[in-house]
Amino acid sequence: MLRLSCSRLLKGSRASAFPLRVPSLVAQAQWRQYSAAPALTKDIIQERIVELFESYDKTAGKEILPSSSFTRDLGLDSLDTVEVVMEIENEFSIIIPDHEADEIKTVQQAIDFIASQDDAC
Amino acid sequence: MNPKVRQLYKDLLWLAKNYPGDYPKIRDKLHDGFIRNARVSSGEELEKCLEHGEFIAKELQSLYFLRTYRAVKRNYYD
Repeated sequence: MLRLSCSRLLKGSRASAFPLRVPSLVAQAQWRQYSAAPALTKDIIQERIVELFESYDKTAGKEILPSSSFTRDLGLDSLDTVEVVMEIENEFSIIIPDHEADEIKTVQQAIDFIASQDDAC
Repeated sequence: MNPKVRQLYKDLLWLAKNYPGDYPKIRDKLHDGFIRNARVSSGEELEKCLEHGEFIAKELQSLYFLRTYRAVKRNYYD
Protein backbone atom coordinates (compact mmCIF):
# COMPACT_ATOMS: atom_id res chain seq x y z
CA MET A 1 0.00 0.00 0.00
CA LEU A 2 2.73 2.38 0.99
CA ARG A 3 4.79 1.38 -2.03
CA LEU A 4 1.84 1.96 -4.34
CA SER A 5 1.10 5.41 -2.99
CA CYS A 6 4.80 6.23 -3.13
CA SER A 7 5.03 5.22 -6.73
CA ARG A 8 1.89 7.20 -7.51
CA LEU A 9 3.37 10.18 -5.77
CA LEU A 10 6.58 9.77 -7.69
CA LYS A 11 4.75 9.44 -10.96
CA GLY A 12 2.77 12.55 -10.20
CA SER A 13 5.80 14.55 -9.20
CA ARG A 14 7.75 13.30 -12.17
CA ALA A 15 5.05 14.31 -14.56
CA SER A 16 4.98 17.81 -13.15
CA ALA A 17 8.75 18.22 -12.83
CA PHE A 18 9.56 16.88 -16.30
CA PRO A 19 6.70 17.73 -18.63
CA LEU A 20 6.73 15.84 -21.90
CA ARG A 21 8.96 17.76 -24.24
CA VAL A 22 8.09 17.95 -27.89
CA PRO A 23 10.97 19.34 -29.92
CA SER A 24 9.67 22.47 -31.57
CA LEU A 25 10.18 23.13 -35.25
CA VAL A 26 12.00 26.34 -34.45
CA ALA A 27 14.66 24.48 -32.52
CA GLN A 28 15.08 21.94 -35.31
CA ALA A 29 15.57 24.64 -37.90
CA GLN A 30 18.53 25.93 -35.92
CA TRP A 31 20.51 22.71 -36.21
CA ARG A 32 23.07 22.54 -38.92
CA GLN A 33 24.34 19.26 -40.27
CA TYR A 34 28.07 19.29 -40.71
CA SER A 35 27.74 17.26 -43.87
CA ALA A 36 25.52 19.94 -45.41
CA ALA A 37 26.81 22.59 -47.79
CA PRO A 38 27.97 25.79 -46.08
CA ALA A 39 25.32 28.45 -45.61
CA LEU A 40 25.04 30.95 -48.43
CA THR A 41 26.32 34.30 -47.21
CA LYS A 42 26.37 37.55 -49.14
CA ASP A 43 30.15 37.34 -49.54
CA ILE A 44 29.91 33.91 -51.14
CA ILE A 45 27.09 35.06 -53.41
CA GLN A 46 29.14 38.08 -54.49
CA GLU A 47 32.18 35.94 -55.16
CA ARG A 48 30.18 33.54 -57.30
CA ILE A 49 28.44 36.31 -59.23
CA VAL A 50 31.74 38.06 -59.95
CA GLU A 51 33.11 34.73 -61.19
CA LEU A 52 30.05 34.34 -63.42
CA PHE A 53 30.57 37.79 -64.95
CA GLU A 54 34.26 37.12 -65.49
CA SER A 55 33.47 33.96 -67.41
CA TYR A 56 30.84 35.76 -69.52
CA ASP A 57 32.64 36.95 -72.64
CA LYS A 58 30.92 40.36 -72.96
CA THR A 59 31.99 41.47 -69.47
CA ALA A 60 35.26 39.53 -69.29
CA GLY A 61 37.86 42.32 -68.91
CA LYS A 62 35.70 44.70 -66.89
CA GLU A 63 35.84 45.46 -63.18
CA ILE A 64 32.82 44.00 -61.41
CA LEU A 65 31.74 45.95 -58.31
CA PRO A 66 28.53 45.47 -56.31
CA SER A 67 27.45 48.93 -57.40
CA SER A 68 28.03 48.34 -61.12
CA SER A 69 24.96 48.68 -63.25
CA PHE A 70 24.37 46.11 -65.99
CA THR A 71 23.61 48.67 -68.67
CA ARG A 72 25.78 51.66 -67.72
CA ASP A 73 28.96 50.11 -66.29
CA LEU A 74 29.03 46.68 -67.89
CA GLY A 75 27.65 47.70 -71.28
CA LEU A 76 24.95 45.04 -71.49
CA ASP A 77 21.68 45.62 -73.30
CA SER A 78 18.28 44.27 -72.24
CA LEU A 79 18.74 40.98 -74.10
CA ASP A 80 22.15 40.41 -72.49
CA THR A 81 20.58 41.13 -69.12
CA VAL A 82 18.01 38.39 -69.79
CA GLU A 83 20.90 36.04 -70.55
CA VAL A 84 22.81 37.01 -67.41
CA VAL A 85 19.71 36.55 -65.25
CA MET A 86 19.25 33.13 -66.83
CA GLU A 87 22.85 32.23 -65.96
CA ILE A 88 22.27 33.42 -62.39
CA GLU A 89 19.16 31.21 -62.21
CA ASN A 90 21.25 28.23 -63.30
CA GLU A 91 24.12 29.04 -60.96
CA PHE A 92 21.99 29.27 -57.82
CA SER A 93 19.25 26.82 -58.92
CA ILE A 94 16.41 29.27 -58.44
CA ILE A 95 13.70 30.63 -60.69
CA ILE A 96 13.47 34.40 -60.97
CA PRO A 97 10.00 35.52 -62.10
CA ASP A 98 9.79 38.18 -64.82
CA HIS A 99 8.63 41.04 -62.61
CA GLU A 100 11.52 40.38 -60.21
CA ALA A 101 13.97 40.05 -63.08
CA ASP A 102 12.94 43.50 -64.35
CA GLU A 103 13.93 44.98 -60.98
CA ILE A 104 17.46 43.57 -61.08
CA LYS A 105 19.59 46.25 -62.66
CA THR A 106 22.81 46.18 -60.63
CA VAL A 107 25.07 43.51 -59.20
CA GLN A 108 24.05 44.49 -55.65
CA GLN A 109 20.35 44.01 -56.45
CA ALA A 110 21.11 40.55 -57.79
CA ILE A 111 23.03 39.67 -54.60
CA ASP A 112 20.19 40.95 -52.40
CA PHE A 113 17.59 39.03 -54.37
CA ILE A 114 19.51 35.75 -54.12
CA ALA A 115 20.14 36.28 -50.39
CA SER A 116 16.37 36.69 -49.91
CA GLN A 117 15.68 33.31 -51.55
CA ASP A 118 15.61 30.40 -49.10
CA ASP A 119 16.10 27.71 -51.74
CA ALA A 120 19.18 29.26 -53.37
CA CYS A 121 22.21 27.02 -53.17
CA MET B 1 10.46 44.14 -72.44
CA ASN B 2 7.38 42.20 -73.44
CA PRO B 3 7.20 38.98 -71.35
CA LYS B 4 6.44 36.93 -74.45
CA VAL B 5 9.56 38.23 -76.17
CA ARG B 6 11.64 37.56 -73.08
CA GLN B 7 10.32 34.01 -72.83
CA LEU B 8 11.02 33.37 -76.50
CA TYR B 9 14.57 34.69 -76.14
CA LYS B 10 15.14 32.45 -73.12
CA ASP B 11 13.74 29.40 -74.90
CA LEU B 12 15.89 29.99 -77.98
CA LEU B 13 19.00 30.57 -75.87
CA TRP B 14 18.33 27.31 -74.06
CA LEU B 15 17.98 25.49 -77.35
CA ALA B 16 21.09 27.17 -78.75
CA LYS B 17 23.24 25.72 -75.97
CA ASN B 18 23.46 22.35 -77.70
CA TYR B 19 23.83 23.70 -81.21
CA PRO B 20 26.90 22.34 -83.00
CA GLY B 21 29.71 24.88 -83.35
CA ASP B 22 30.63 27.47 -80.76
CA TYR B 23 27.93 28.87 -78.56
CA PRO B 24 28.88 32.62 -78.69
CA LYS B 25 28.45 32.61 -82.46
CA ILE B 26 24.87 31.38 -82.48
CA ARG B 27 24.06 33.50 -79.44
CA ASP B 28 25.24 36.65 -81.24
CA LYS B 29 23.21 35.65 -84.29
CA LEU B 30 20.14 35.27 -82.11
CA HIS B 31 20.87 38.60 -80.43
CA ASP B 32 21.18 40.36 -83.80
CA GLY B 33 17.90 38.85 -84.95
CA PHE B 34 16.09 40.21 -81.92
CA ILE B 35 17.78 43.63 -82.17
CA ARG B 36 16.77 43.91 -85.81
CA ASN B 37 13.12 43.79 -84.75
CA ALA B 38 13.56 45.93 -81.63
CA ARG B 39 11.31 48.71 -82.93
CA VAL B 40 8.36 46.29 -83.16
CA SER B 41 6.44 46.87 -79.95
CA SER B 42 2.89 45.61 -80.39
CA GLY B 43 0.10 44.64 -82.69
CA GLU B 44 0.00 42.32 -85.63
CA GLU B 45 3.66 42.74 -86.47
CA LEU B 46 4.71 41.56 -83.02
CA GLU B 47 2.51 38.47 -83.34
CA LYS B 48 4.13 37.75 -86.69
CA CYS B 49 7.65 38.07 -85.26
CA LEU B 50 6.78 35.87 -82.28
CA GLU B 51 5.33 33.25 -84.60
CA HIS B 52 8.53 33.31 -86.65
CA GLY B 53 10.58 32.89 -83.48
CA GLU B 54 8.48 29.93 -82.39
CA PHE B 55 8.88 28.45 -85.84
CA ILE B 56 12.66 28.64 -85.46
CA ALA B 57 12.45 27.03 -82.02
CA LYS B 58 10.48 24.14 -83.49
CA GLU B 59 12.98 23.81 -86.33
CA LEU B 60 15.82 23.59 -83.82
CA GLN B 61 13.95 20.96 -81.83
CA SER B 62 13.34 18.86 -84.92
CA LEU B 63 16.99 19.20 -85.92
CA TYR B 64 18.05 17.89 -82.52
CA PHE B 65 15.55 15.06 -82.87
CA LEU B 66 16.96 14.21 -86.29
CA ARG B 67 20.49 14.22 -84.94
CA THR B 68 19.53 11.80 -82.18
CA TYR B 69 17.68 9.61 -84.66
CA ARG B 70 20.68 9.50 -86.99
CA ALA B 71 23.06 8.68 -84.16
CA VAL B 72 20.83 5.81 -83.01
CA LYS B 73 20.44 4.54 -86.58
CA ARG B 74 24.18 4.65 -87.18
CA ASN B 75 24.97 2.83 -83.97
CA TYR B 76 22.31 0.13 -84.14
CA TYR B 77 21.32 -0.50 -87.74
CA ASP B 78 24.03 0.51 -90.22
